Amino acid sequence: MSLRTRIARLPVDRLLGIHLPAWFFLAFTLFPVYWLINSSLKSGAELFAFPPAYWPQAPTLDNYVRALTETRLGQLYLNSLFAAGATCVALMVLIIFGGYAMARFSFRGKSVVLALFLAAQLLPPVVMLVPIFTMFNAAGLLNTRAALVVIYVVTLLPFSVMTMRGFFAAIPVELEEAAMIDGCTRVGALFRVVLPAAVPGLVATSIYGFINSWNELLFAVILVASPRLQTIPVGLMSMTDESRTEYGMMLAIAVMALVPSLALFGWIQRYLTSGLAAGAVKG
Amino acid sequence: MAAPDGATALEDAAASRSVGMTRRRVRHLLGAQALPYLLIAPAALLVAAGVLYPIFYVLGLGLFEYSPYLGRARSWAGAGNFLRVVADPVFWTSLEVSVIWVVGSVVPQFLLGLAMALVLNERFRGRGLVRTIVLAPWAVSGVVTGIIWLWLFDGTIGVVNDMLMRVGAIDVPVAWGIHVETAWLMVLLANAWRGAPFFAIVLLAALQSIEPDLYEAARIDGAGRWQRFRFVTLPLIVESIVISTLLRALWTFNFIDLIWTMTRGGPIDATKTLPIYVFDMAYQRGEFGYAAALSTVLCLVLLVFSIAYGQLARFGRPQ
Repeated sequence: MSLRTRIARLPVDRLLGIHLPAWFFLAFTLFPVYWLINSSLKSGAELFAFPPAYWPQAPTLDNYVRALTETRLGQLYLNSLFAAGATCVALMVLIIFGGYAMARFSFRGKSVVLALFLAAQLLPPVVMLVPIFTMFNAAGLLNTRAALVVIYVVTLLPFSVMTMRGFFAAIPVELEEAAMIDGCTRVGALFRVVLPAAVPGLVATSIYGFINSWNELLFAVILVASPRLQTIPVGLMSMTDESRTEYGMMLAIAVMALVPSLALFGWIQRYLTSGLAAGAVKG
Repeated sequence: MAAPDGATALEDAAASRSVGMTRRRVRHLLGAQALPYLLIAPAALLVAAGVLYPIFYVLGLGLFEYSPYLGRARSWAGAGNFLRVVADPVFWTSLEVSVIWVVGSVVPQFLLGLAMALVLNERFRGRGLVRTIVLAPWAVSGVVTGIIWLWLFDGTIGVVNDMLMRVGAIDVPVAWGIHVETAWLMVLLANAWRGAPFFAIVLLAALQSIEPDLYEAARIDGAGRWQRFRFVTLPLIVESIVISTLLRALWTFNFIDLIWTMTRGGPIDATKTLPIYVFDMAYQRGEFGYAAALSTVLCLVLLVFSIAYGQLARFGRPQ
């Protein structure tokens, strides 16, 4: 069936109500990213030509090669990878236990913990700037690799624990009961029976933490001043101040910063409308 | 009034019960009941240290003059910093700018996100792929979003200028970042691109929890497309709408990465929101005491806003 007859057979209201808006959303979402990639593949003269070419006339990886060899991109990339990766792993361990406690137990002070987590999620990061800076200064954490991991874990924990609680709560209690009747301890049941069923949720929640740490700017700017330890967002932001001749490289770096976020997002996105978003809304 | 012996009996009963309760509590704490505390303790302690300390530190520091990197010792200022806030014209402007930023971001993002959710909730070929693509900007950082849109809106060679010139809307390239209105347009569009997917995700989750039977029943009762939306969909997602717009408003207020990347608060403070002003005061100018006072006021503003919003939402609810 040709495209034309297929379109002709569509009821008008589906065309106007679903297909047209869907195409509009796709164009609105994709064009900016397409334009970034298109521009990053142009060499100097073509990049600054007006009117601009909608398809690179002489596509080249020059900007990427120069970004990797002439700038500290490699270093920035490793720094970001360490900050986000270590945050992700630490979160994973903490939310297995924390999420399980919040999902399966009622204990005195649980409402206090809930209130604390809610307050933590609503506390503006910019308000934490001065106290965290002085606190980390006193602890000798300024300008260290550990600084960003610590602050990212602390700021992401409330959301992540509450999300993990949701994933645990969706698993039937009978599973653990059966395991405990068979002689498992509570913690044994958690690791042998409950956790395997909660792995998708655990992965989605920790990857969410990875993406957020990978993207974070504010704390990365104030806690790490040494260029050797900076992360990608900080390096990219400082490039917007530099001369326009470096724009090609900046666009190439932006593409490389984008790739991990988008790839990981594609991986976890099917959990978004179930557990992940629910954690944010239910607080 | 109770008889004396009755009172003693009650006290006795209470005493014996409390002994029993203490014994049981101790046993529980040592045994099974200690487990949840052990499990939650690491997370709770980390969060408490990372949240409570900053709150009290900021509340206290606002009463001092403190600029360690300007070589000045800490000195008592009393209400001095807060009087300075009230008299500071930049503070008041930044508050106005924040209102534009939040309203101009949340309203279009909500409408766009709702439209996305409604479309993505329908069945059509390729829905899974469209959904993944449309929601993806949610994972893009503020800095990269800023760079992408700065480049699209470049004042001389930007593609937006080229497109508008091709359709004849403008004759010469527009320097978007220089004028107040066009700078806002650029920043708010960029934020809509990154922010609408959040609403789409939350509202799509709400839409998917609605029983299809309800629509069937409404259709049998003769309800049209709009009536089904108005009387079936809307009442069932209103809770999600209220909470997600509140959260989005708070996050948008606090979100400085995008504005910082795109305009640095310019042109001439026109896009300098209150959080950017605080960041400026602490990071660029090193006036920690005054930044703390501004932070306290910022929290008060958010608190008042949240309470007012809660009241308004309750007022607007049908029951």
